[in-house]
Amino acid sequence: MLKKNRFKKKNRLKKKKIKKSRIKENIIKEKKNKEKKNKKSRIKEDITIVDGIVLESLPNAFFRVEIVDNKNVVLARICGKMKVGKIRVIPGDKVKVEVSKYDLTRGRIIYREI
Amino acid sequence: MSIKKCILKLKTRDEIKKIKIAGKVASDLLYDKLDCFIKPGISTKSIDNFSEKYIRSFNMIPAFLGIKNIDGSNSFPASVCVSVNDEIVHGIPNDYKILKYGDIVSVDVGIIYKGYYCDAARTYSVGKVDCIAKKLINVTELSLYDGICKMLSGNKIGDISNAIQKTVEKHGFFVIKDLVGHGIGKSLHEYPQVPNYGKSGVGIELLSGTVLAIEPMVSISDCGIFMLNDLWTIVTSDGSLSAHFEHTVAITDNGYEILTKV
Repeated sequence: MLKKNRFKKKNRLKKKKIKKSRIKENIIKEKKNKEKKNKKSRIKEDITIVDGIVLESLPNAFFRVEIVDNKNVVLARICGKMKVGKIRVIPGDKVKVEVSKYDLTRGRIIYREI
Repeated sequence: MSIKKCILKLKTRDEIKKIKIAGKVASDLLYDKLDCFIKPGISTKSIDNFSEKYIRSFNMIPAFLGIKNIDGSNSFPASVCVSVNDEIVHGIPNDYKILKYGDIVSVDVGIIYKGYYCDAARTYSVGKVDCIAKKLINVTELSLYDGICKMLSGNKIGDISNAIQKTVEKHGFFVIKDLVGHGIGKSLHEYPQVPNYGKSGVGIELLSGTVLAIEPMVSISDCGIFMLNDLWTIVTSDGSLSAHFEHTVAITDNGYEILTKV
C-alpha cells in the first residue's frame, strides 16, 4: 500500500535540511584534517627539537641554553602555553628546545622535564 | 484504497475466526499448491487462473478483482498480484510475460469470506537463482517474523517497524520507504498504516483485537519507486531486485496469532 503523506512539503523540506547539515559537517571535518596534516609536515620540515640545559636567566623570559649534543649555546624564549600554565624555568633545568634551520642561534623552550 | 477514518477498530473472537478460515485457504495456496506450479516456461496469467479457480472452489471471493485505483480511473483486472524481479507490488498478470530461470516472483493473494478480508504474499525463486537473490528472500522472511514477534498488547507500532528495519540493515539490504502495511478487517485497507522503518516506542498502542497486515518490502539498493503507465505496477527506480512477504496477524489475550499460516 502507498504511504499517505509521501509528497507532502514538510517531508521534503526535512530531508533537504538533513542533507545540508550533513554536507556542512563533512566540509568542517575535512578542513580540520587538512590543518592537522599541514601542521605535522611543517614541524618536520623547518624545526628540530633538541635537549638542553639552562645556563642563565635573562629579563623578559629569555634564557641561555646549552644544547647537549652540539655544546652550542642558544638564546631561547619561553613559549606562550608555559606562561599561561604558570610553569617556571630556573637555571639548571633540563629542557626541550625548538630550533629552526633558518637561524641556529635562536630557540623556543617547549617542555621542562620533571 | 484510501483510509477514511482514524479510528482503531477492534475485532471480536468470532470475527477473527472467520478471517482465519479465509487465511487457511490463502496459506494452502501459497505454501502448498503454488510451490509445485511455479516453474520456468509458464506465463503469469496461468498463475492467476490457477489461483482464482482454487479460491472459488471453496466458495470464497478474490479480493483484488475490480478494486479501483487511488485516482478512481483504473480497476485491477485480475485476482492475484504477480510481480517479477524489478516490480515490487501490484504487478498485473499477462499472457506474454513468461518466467525463466533466475527470476524472482512475488504473488499477493486477497480473499473475502462472509464480508471479512485477508491478505497474504510470498516470493518464489524460479529454478536456480543467484546467491544475492536467495539471501534477499531469506532476509525478508526473517524480518517479517522478527516484526511479528513484537506484536503484544501494550507495545507500539514503532516497535514492529524498528525490528524490521534492523534485521534488514544488518544484512546489508535496504527497506523501501514509500510502501507500508495496513490494518485489515471489514475492508481491505484500514487504519493504521504500518511503515517498515522507524523508531521504537513511537506510534499507536496495540490492543487485543487489532488485526494487521504486515508487509516488508526489501531491495538491494537504496532506491525510490516509480509507477508505470498502466497506473498499477510499482517498480524500483534502479532496476534492482525486490522481495515481498506478507501475513495477516491478530492480537488475542494469549499473544499474537498468525492467521495466514497452517
